[in-house]
Amino acid sequence: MRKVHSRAVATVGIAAAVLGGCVAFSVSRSENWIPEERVRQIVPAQTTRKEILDWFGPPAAVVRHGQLLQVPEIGVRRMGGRELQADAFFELFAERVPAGETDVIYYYQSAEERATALRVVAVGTASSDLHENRLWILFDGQTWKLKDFVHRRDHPVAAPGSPANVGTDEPVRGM
Amino acid sequence: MAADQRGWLPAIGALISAGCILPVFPVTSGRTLDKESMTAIVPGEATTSVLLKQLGPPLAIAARGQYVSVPAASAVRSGGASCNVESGGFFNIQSDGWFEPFSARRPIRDEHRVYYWYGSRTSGFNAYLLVGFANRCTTTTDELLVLVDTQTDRVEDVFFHEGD
Repeated sequence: MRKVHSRAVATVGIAAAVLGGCVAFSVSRSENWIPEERVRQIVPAQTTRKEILDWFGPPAAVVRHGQLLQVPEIGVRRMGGRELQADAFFELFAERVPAGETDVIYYYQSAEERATALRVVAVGTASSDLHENRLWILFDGQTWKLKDFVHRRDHPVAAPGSPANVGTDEPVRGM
Repeated sequence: MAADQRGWLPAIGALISAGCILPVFPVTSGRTLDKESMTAIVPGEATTSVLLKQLGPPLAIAARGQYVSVPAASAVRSGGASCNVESGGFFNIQSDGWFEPFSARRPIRDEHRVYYWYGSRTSGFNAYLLVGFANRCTTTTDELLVLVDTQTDRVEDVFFHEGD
């Protein structure tokens, strides 16, 4: 029996030395994370502006037609700034709801960095992706009725509609 | 199970259980936004001096329509085997977003300013196992916005958002 034990330990030891590898997973989540459960509670024409502000806090940008706006770089930290064209945001809703001149978009952004690494003997591979988590909420700027919303959790290298962007990453839309 | 097969169990058990899980050391930045400090700020009564006495200097003061630069919060990001703290730098933001919680309740005038504070904290874990490691690094930020009328020098409204 003792001989069997010794053989087993020795075999495992040799296997570990020969294969000598390891695997690593990591997730880094940004501040101002957009909670999925709250997004699912948004109901166009019912959810109020106050509820949106209570759930998600002050927006990263309040967007009106024709504006050039500045928001922090999207990443694990709120850092720096980048300019965005407001009209590009309104395009998200162009085919969904009739556009209004006074429409306002609340824009929220957050991100998650996911990294994996694998090493076997002397060969290793590693990858790191930034997954953007963004929310656009369209209001009628006069009545403050919530008209529509778009939520996207994008895989950075996948095309829209690809398997990487469905399931949990599936864009959630209102109306 | 045969006796010679049972001989593997201690070795496999050792492989699986070897390692440890450690929490990420918490790092805070900005201002700790405790309830006690905030309850002293009574809208309509508190003056700017009371506000500053309770919370210290704000991280930013903004008029509507301004772009402001705010010191960035410390955050944790995975640096491979563990969550590492990153600090320093600034972020630029449009102040209009800060006025939204207040403009929903009252008209915003030229003499209004938003005083801005945040309190940020890190959390997560580092798991070190024999054949690998995993970590989760999270930064949570609470935000406090106070609307001040610069003519009367009084706090008009307060908005607090607790980070998820």
